[in-house]
Amino acid sequence: MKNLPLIVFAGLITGALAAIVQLFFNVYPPYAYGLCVACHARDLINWLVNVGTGLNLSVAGVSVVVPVLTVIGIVLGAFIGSKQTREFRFKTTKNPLTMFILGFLVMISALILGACPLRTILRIAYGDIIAIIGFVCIVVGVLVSVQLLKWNTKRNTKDLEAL
Amino acid sequence: MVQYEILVSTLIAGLIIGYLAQRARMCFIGGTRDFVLVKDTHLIKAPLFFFIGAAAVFSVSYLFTSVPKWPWFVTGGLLPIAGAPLSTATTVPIWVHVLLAVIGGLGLGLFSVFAGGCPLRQHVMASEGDKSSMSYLLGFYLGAIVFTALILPLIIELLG
Repeated sequence: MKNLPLIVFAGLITGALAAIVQLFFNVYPPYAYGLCVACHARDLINWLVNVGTGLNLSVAGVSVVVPVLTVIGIVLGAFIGSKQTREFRFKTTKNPLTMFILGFLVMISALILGACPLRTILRIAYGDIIAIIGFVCIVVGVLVSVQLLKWNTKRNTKDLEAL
Repeated sequence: MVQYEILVSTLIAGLIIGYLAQRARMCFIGGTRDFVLVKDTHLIKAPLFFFIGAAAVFSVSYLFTSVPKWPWFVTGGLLPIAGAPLSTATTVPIWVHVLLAVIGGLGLGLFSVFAGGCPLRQHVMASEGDKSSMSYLLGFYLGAIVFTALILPLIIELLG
């Protein structure tokens, strides 16, 4: 354990916990649902909206009576970590409106796939073939995005040279 | 009956995952991005070992107790595990599931790189005080409501 890099340790524990909450704490249905940052966020917000307004927005089976609290845990855990390392600081790194739209589009995409990147891998570990297709498409999406960013950088550099 | 085990187990699992994700700067999109952009393999270890961790628990548990419907491709064939739109509708042809996975996957990869990290990483950055990520989360949670109320019924109408 001592020589295990932190990123490897974090990945292993996260993957193991995603499986453990399903197998030992009944966090299902559906299967391979122990961890999903998009779906668990959807379950929590829809559950709250339903309680608040009397609407009937659909949630996963496990979240019908009480919602999964994974995302609250993640925010608290990360907050504790950032306080401990003194990394916590209010800052604005990107255009907030752009980020708002991107967050919206990422959630829509994730729910069309039925998984965030983490649950995509969890579904693959459960043996879901469609999730493998989803994963390949995430990688293709990343490739396209990286190319667009590269082109944009090149164009900006050329504009500067022209000056 | 209040299912305390679901509330408590997901909260504690989330706490541990959030803490580790913050300390390790874990990002499931950043790993792929860094690898294709600059051949850096540091962050990509997270998804790789996430897979190993989950697969190890599933397969070891399979030997000693039972893991329902695992492995899925044997019990469920080519169908996706429930949780995706239309995944419980058995009459839907397989290409519809593939189409949804392709659209969702492409969008997820594309927009997540622009945003600078996967949804997990955005939650962590928001917890570190990043107002841009907090703004992302507002859109993220609003997206969930809009998807459920408007887009999901549309998908069921068009493809179901």
